[in-house]
Amino acid sequence: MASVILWCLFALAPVSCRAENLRLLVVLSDNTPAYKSFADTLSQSLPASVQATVLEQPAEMKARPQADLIVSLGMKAALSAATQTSVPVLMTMIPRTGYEELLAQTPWGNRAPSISAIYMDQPWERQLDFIRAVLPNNIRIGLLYSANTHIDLAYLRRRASERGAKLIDRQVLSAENLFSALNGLLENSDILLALPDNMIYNSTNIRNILLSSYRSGIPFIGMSQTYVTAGALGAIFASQKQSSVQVAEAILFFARTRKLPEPNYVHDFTVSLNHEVARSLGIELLPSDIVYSRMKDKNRSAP
Amino acid sequence: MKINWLPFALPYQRRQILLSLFLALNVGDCFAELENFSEQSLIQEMPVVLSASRLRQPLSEAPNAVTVIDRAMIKASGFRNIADLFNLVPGMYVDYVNGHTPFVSYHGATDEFTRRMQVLVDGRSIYLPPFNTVIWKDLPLHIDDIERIEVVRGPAATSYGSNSIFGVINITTRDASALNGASISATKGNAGGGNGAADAVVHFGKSGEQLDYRLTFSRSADNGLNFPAGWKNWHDGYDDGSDTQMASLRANFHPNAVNSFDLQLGFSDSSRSVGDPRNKLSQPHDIKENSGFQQLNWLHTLGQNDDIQLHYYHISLNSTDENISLPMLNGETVLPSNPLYPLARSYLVSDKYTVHRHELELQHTLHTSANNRLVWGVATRYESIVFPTLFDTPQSLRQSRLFAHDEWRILPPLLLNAGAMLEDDGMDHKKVSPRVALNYHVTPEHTFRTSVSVAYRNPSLAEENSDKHYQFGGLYQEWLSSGRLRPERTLSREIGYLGNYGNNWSVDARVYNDQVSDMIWLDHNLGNPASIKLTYGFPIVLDFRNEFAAHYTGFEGTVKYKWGYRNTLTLDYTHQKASVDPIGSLYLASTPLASAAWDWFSGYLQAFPNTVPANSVSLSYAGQISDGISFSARYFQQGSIMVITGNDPQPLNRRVDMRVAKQFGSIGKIGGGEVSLVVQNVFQDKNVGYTGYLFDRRAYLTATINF
Repeated sequence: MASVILWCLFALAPVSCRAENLRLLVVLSDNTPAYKSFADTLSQSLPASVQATVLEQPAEMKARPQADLIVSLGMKAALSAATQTSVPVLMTMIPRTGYEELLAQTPWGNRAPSISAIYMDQPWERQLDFIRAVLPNNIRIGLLYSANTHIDLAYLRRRASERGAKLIDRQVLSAENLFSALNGLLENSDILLALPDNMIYNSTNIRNILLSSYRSGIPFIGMSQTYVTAGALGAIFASQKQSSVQVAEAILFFARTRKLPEPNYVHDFTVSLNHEVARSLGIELLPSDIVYSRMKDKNRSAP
Repeated sequence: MKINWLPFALPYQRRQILLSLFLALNVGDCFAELENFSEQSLIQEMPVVLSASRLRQPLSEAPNAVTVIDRAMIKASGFRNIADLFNLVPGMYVDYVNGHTPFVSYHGATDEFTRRMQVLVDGRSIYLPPFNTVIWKDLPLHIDDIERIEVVRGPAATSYGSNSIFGVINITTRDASALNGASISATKGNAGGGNGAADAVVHFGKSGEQLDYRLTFSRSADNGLNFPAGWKNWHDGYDDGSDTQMASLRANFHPNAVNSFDLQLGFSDSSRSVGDPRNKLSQPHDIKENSGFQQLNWLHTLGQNDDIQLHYYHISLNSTDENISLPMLNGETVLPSNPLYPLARSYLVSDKYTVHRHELELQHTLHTSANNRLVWGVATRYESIVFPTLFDTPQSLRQSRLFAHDEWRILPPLLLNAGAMLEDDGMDHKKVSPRVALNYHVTPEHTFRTSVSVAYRNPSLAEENSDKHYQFGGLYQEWLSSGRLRPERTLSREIGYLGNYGNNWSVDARVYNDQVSDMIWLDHNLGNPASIKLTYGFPIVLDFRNEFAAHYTGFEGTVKYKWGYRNTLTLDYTHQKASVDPIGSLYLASTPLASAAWDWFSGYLQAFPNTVPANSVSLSYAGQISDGISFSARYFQQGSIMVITGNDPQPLNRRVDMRVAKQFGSIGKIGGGEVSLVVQNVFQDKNVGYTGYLFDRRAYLTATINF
């Protein structure tokens, strides 16, 4: 059942001249807390004048509410929004590979320009900068990827070596193969970095991946605060607030121009470190705010 | 992007409707295909896997000097027996009474019953009554299943309870999830001559969403040690082979994010040969032993950094020797007739014992603030022993302990570890063992540690309350405890340093001073006048007494150099010194003592400083010489030592061990595996063991394959 929420918060954000005319439809992949809390955060980042309808299930789009723009939360909502309507879609809470795969596999022809995304994951260069800020020495970065993940290994390798790191990658062909791939990788790496991959980083495997890497004394870099809480050495990620700010900007841009910005990562990010795990692994970590500002400074000084 | 296959000829609106209809039907299928690319791995909920009690304290923040033996070191060492691994620890002494009775001690060795170190396997104490020693060969634990060993050098009663006055061996086995697949491994070697050594082990493991398990089945057999031809002692021609079969299971059930149940079961059954065909007193025969344990650990995570653990275990040990001979009593063959034992002949008697221990422990780890972590807990233990030749009646003990340990980061570079344990040993001893340690990180790379601790060792049941005798027409009394022993007490002080130099060098060093008062020793039973008399050089009835105050001082250092990705060079050096002062009634009342008793006692006093080797050194290399080929070598030298109960002094021993291994296929993958060759004492240096055996060159070939 569609729940219509009139966002009439007295937000401090500047009100765009045409924002009040925008009919915004926010579609969640499901009603689990991850999506709902993002929808709430997004609502707080938007001017009070923006009227939005929130659909908690993609199936509710069958009722075809009138909208100028759909903001989809998650892959399932993105797919439904893009395929069941002709309304422009701003996809959020999806990783870059997910977005690209959606574009590649879904036959919607010239609809593509009316689709854009704000990726949920982090750019590779930023991950490398993070690893360098955390473990400054030239290191071997271990990377597991499954057969289904379309990552450009040559690009990742090149970028890594530009920063004095070496990429050690192992393909996981099947769930059964994960452990041998992981053990082989841990023997040859100094750090294990997670990239979005549901075949590898799912609730079945994550416990054993964390335990194995800890046993081998190899720090693990996760993808969200949850990973850090579970025992990863650290992670960089866009907080819901940081994502929402950028999504809200894109919505207001659309309200003004009826165009979506190019797909992009969230510009701002959060550094989270697990100092207990670091101490136990004998790794001297800087405070997370210093790691953050170093990474920011590096980007500012970059040509 | 894929080529569009839709009917473009249609007007845009109709095209959209068709597309929508088509996709509405197929959106489910489409999502299934795309699911692997979804955000799921970025937003999923997960349990706190590395909760506080799973996290190891880093060496630079530990309140004691700790040597870590990890899987790589275990593999590189090439050792077949768990006890041998402690050769890798500075200041440790490992030797064998015979091929199946190794013993491990720290601060030198006074006898084969090394009572002053606690030994734990996954939190389960295997330091067993009645003698409070560890029977290494019977452990239902395979060396391959060890993940890591932390050896605490120095007293740690605060963390590990009494009996850890010299140190603690803390063995952690591989997690239930550590193995996914199966492997079989076979070893053949020339240990002990004859058929040599033959070992086989099979491992199975599976890890799943909620349940992980691993299983090990093994058999290990060898012909023991080689005694030199014409050896003067009764060991000449001694058969000390053994055959041990073992099975163990570890399973972990984690039904949800906050609860994890770890179940372990193990059983071993062994047959150990003793005896010598030429010695009527000790004809060849087998001692049968079996050992088992069951263990359940419930870990409940309370938050990011806090957890609570409930731990129960039961261990049991049965030993049966149906044909024990009593060497002191034979009037017919070796010894002349003895007026004290007119009935003395070569008697065969039966010696059996059974030991059980149950323990329940509750431990709570919590962060009281960002800079303070507290671990506290309570435990209760029940032990029972049936050992007719040692105790007249079945014995049982109820012990309990309460402990707390606090880690307070006073300033970022300054850490205070403080704790205490209150223990009731069930034999009227209630003692508090406190410890305080300060670790100061001068820079993140350089840490100084200083600690002071007091630790107690409660007397074992055998020391306090035993009556070792054999009844066979006449009575043969070996010892009779008069009891009322005071616990041994250690005051330990140390200064340690840990440093890292660049990325390659690391140093771990310490100087220490340990003062043990009231050391318990086996001597004449003063209440029994007959004990003063000697039979062929030995007292007749012995007793345990608080006899010495021992002082140990020393230096231990480890320097490591790591280069490349896998090369490590390790230098260990230990210098130690022991001295002893007599205490107690025997010393004070020495004048009226019979000269024989005095000689016996003063013999101890003189020998004691020689129970530690003055200098020990080892240099080892482990690394990969080419892809898939690893090589390790170790030179080990131990200064001369006189174990008081040993037969002769052990001269300076040195030996070189080597291992080379070729890996094939992929690690952990079906069809992958390894072939390795281990050669011990490569250059045939003369190595004399505790009982005078000679450790000759030995070689083992091992093949492992995953299936």
